[in-house]
This record gives sequence, C-alpha cells and structure tokens, in this order.
Amino acid sequence: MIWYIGRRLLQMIPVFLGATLIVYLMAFYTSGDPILALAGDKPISPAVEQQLREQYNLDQHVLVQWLLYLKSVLTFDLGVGFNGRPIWDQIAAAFPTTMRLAIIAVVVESIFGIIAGVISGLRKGKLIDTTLLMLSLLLIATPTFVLGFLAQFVFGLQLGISPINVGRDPSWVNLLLPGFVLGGVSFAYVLRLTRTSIAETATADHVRTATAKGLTRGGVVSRHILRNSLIPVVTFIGADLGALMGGAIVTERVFNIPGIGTLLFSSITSGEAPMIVSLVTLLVIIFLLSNLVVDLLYGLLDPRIRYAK
Amino acid sequence: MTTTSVTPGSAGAPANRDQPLLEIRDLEITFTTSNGPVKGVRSASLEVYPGETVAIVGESGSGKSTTAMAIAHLLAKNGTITGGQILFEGREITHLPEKEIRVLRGDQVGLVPQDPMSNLNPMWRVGSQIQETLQANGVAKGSAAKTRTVQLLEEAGLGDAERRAQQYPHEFSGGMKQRALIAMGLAARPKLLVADEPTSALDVTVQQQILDHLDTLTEELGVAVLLITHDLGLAAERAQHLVVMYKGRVVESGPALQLLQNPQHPYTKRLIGAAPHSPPGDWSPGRSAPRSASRRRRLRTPPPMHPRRPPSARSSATGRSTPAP
Repeated sequence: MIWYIGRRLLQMIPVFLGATLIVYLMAFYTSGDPILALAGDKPISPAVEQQLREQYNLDQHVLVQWLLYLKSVLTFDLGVGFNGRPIWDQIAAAFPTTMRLAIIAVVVESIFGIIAGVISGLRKGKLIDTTLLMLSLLLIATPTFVLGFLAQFVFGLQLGISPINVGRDPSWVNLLLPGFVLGGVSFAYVLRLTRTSIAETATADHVRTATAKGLTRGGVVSRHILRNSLIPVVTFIGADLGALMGGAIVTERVFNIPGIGTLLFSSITSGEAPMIVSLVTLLVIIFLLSNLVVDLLYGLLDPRIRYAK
Repeated sequence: MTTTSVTPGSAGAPANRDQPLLEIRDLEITFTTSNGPVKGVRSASLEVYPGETVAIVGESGSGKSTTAMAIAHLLAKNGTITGGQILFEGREITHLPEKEIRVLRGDQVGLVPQDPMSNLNPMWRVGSQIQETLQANGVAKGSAAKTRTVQLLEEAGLGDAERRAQQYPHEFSGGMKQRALIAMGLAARPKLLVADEPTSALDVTVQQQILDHLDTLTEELGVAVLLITHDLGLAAERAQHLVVMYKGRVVESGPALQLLQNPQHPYTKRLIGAAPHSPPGDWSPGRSAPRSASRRRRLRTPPPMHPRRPPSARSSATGRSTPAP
C-alpha cells in the first residue's frame, strides 16, 4: 500500500513538469506583452520597461523562463506579483477560503446527492423520482451566477440570514450559502449518477439472494445495494473537488469572495504568467491528490481492486 | 470431500407429514412490460410434502423459476401474482405484506440461486454474508455466528473453511461459490429449500459432486427441496416427484418413474426424447410430438395427483443412479 502511494506520488513529478510547461507556453504566447498591459495607456520609459523585463525574466527565452520558474518553485520563492505583493503570500491568503468553499460544496453534493439518488433509484418511475429528476435538470440547466443571485436575493435580502457580500477571511458559516450554490450543479450530477447506479444494482442477482436470506429492506439497501453502487459516484466527487477549486470563479465573484478563482481571473486578465502558472499547478496537484484518494477509496469499497502490499 | 457435521434443525421433525409443506394452486403471475401485461405463469399447481424433493422441469421461459421465486415473494419488480394461491404449512401466504413474508425468508424458505458467479456480493467476505443470514433469522449472534458460519461452510463441503470464510467471492472458484451459497441457503435450517438450477453454471464433474452433497445434506436435515432444472435426467435422478412446465403451465406432474415411463403430454415426450442419455427405444419414442393446440389444451390440466408415498420411502422410487427401468 505504501509502495503504491509512493509510486503514485512519484508519478506526479512528470505531470507537474508537463503541466507547468504547457501552461507557461500558453500564457507566454497568448497574453500579449504583459509589461505593456501593465503600463496601460500611460507611456512607459524604456529604462523602466527594461528593468521590469529583467525583474520578471521577460527578456529571456521562454524555456529559460520556465526553468527559472521551476527553480523558484523549488525554493518556495515565487517572486513578486504585478501588484507588488509576493505571489506566494497572495496564494496563501486566498487558498484557505477557496478550500473551505470547495469542502462545503463537496459535502453538500455528496450527502444530499447520494441520499436523493438512493431514494430516486429505489423508486424509479415513481412520483418522487420524477420530481427529483426534474429538480436536477433544472439545477443543471441554470447557470451558476443565476443560482447565486437567486440565493442572494432570497436568503440575503428577503430572509436576511446570510451575508450577500462575504468579503475577506470569511467564516465557515458565512461560506455556507456560497457553498450550496457552488455544489448545486454537482448535487444534480451526484443525484443522477447515484440513481442510475442504485437502480442497476437493485436488480442484481446477489441483491435478490440477500433478500431471500431474510434481511430487512434497510439492511439490503445499505449493505448490498448502496456500497456496490458508490464507485462511479466516488469517482465523480473526487474529480469534482479539483474542478470546484478552480471552477469557483463565478461563485467567488458573485459573493465577492477573495479566493483562488478571483486571483486566477485577475491574473489571466493581466497576463501575469508566474501567477497563472502557479495557480494552475496548484490546481493540477489538488486534482492529482484527490484522484489518488479516489483510487484508494476504490480499494476500500471493492476488495477486487485492492492494491498489492 | 469434507466430512459433514449436520446438526438437526427444527426442520427435521415436521409436525404433520400428510399435510403438504407447500401447496401452489392455480398460480398466475403477470409481468408488466412496455408491450403490456405478459403472463409468465398461468395456472400452475404443485405440492411439496415435508422432506420430499420435487423437481420442476421445463425449458427456459417456461415459468419454472418464476413459480418458485413467487413463494418467498422474490419476483422481479414488474412481476405480480395475479391469481391462485400459495399455501405454506396450510397458511395462505400469497399476498402477505413484506414484513410478514420476511419472517418466512431464510428460516422457512431458503434459496440456492442459479448462478454462483453473480449471487454472492463481491464486496463482502463470504463468511460475513453467511453470518448475516444467521443474524437476520436470529439463529446466532457475534462470535457464535462466526463459529457457526465456519461449521456451515464445512458442512457444505468446503475445505479449509476457517480461512475461506475470511475470503472474498472473487477468490473462490465457481464450485466453491456454489457450496457457499448452499451453506447460505441452509444456514437458518429452512423447511423448504428452493434450488434454482443450482449447478447449471458448473462443470459436469462438479455438478455431480455438489448435487450429491446437496442430496445428502437435505436428506439428513429433512429439508424439502423444490429443485428447478431444465435437465429431465437430472430431475428424475434427484426427485421423487416431477412437475413439467411448458409455456407457463404445469402440463404434467407425477411420481418421477411413472412420468418417465408413461409420459402423457407431448412436451414431456419430446423432453424425454431429447434427453441425451436416454437409451434409444426405452421410455418413449424419441420423435417430436405434434404441437397441435387442441391437443395441448386438452392436456392442460395435469392428471390427478397420485397419492404421495411418505418421504421415508424417498429415492426408492427412482433410484439414485439411473432413471431407466
């Protein structure tokens, strides 16, 4: 098991190198001249321009820039962002907020999604199933910002139980509403995945055999249907954690939360390559780690895919 | 094969041997499909006496499994009993609510399912799946259930049972899985064991072993067996009483030997003719009988039931080795 985890962690190194290189090249070739963008309409003196170019290594070849960037990652010194604050500090400030937001969203989508999916899957074709399916379709079809504004209007303005603007260093409680909004679409997907999987397992031969043993319906569902149905759901939730971290851009902007999404958005608009690359790399690592956790969960759920010790 | 240690259960001493343990009268089962209702079973009747082995023989789709599954209400979701009666120990159980039928499952009516590959839950250890049966039926709990599980596996002929109980189904061969399923079906000492083609998915050599073992076990425990099979030879070898089903109907039934020697219904004749190990010229002509509708309708009602010989005389009727006279 330890070997397996170690091997998986080692496999992250080439993925890390590849991801940073690709993002670096993309940021370099698509964003135009970042110094001119930084200067905006005001003319910039050649001396200052030259100095900035040297400071950000923009006078070097792109591959050299990439290698210099790798060196800065390994020394935990990502340099200073365009706004004068160290990149590392900016990420460290934004990361916990987004992480909290994503955790709330994942917990919401998992708990509610799986419960609703089980109910729906076991009562396939009944009224409750149809209702839940319609609800999930509605959630999938509604853009996140619409959902966000709606939640702000109802819970923030009408009921007054949640702040509309979350602001800096938010508490878990203040992040609840944005978390629900962020997890809303994924909830619908978890529901649908669970429903299909449950409905399929429920007709399996071994479920009938379990029933024939004299188990209660609850025992059959929890021991013989639910566990066997969870693999596709767990796969989705694991991948979704990564997606929620990076995809929180809309939710963060609607609720004015200074997280990773906001940071990513502003760095893309200003063409701040080191920041973009750092954030994307961070997201890639989170993605890889959550997928590793998913693979380990597979083994826990299904003995047939348990890993060699 | 491991020596078996059989503990006599409650099923060993049925109160009344003259009263059928199971009685199915004019059972009708309807499946709701996208093409409208389909009758899977129409007018099926049979009786199983305590300790007796009765075989339902028929081709796939003849309704034999469906009839048997209906007893413990294990039909697929779209199947419902639309007519007739099922009586267990004289008590009508046709439309019992889920809670009450659950009491019957496991410790009154056990099941050995058809395909060992798909009937064990791949996620749980084999032992814990048997233990579950013991706990659900209040037979044993905790460590007692664990010990009992190992005993049951040994009894079903599984070697090294203690280690095997800790393994997962995918670590078992097909024959071993079927033995585990037999242990499971008999765990709570049911009075009736529904064995739904218990060996069709296995090698011929393993089939013989497992059936022999099942025979010995059920005989020692005094468990009545409702054996479902498409193999007439096998049925005649294992059961005292045969019920032949064809297109959802019981077309013929009677003591095994008599039915083989003097089949009435054309389908039974064809079955006998098609049996690969029937000696030519024996039993009945091997030609396929005409399938005229009028003839079938005439024969729909089974011949009157023969008075059953008591189960103590079991297996003397057919002999265990060959059904041929």
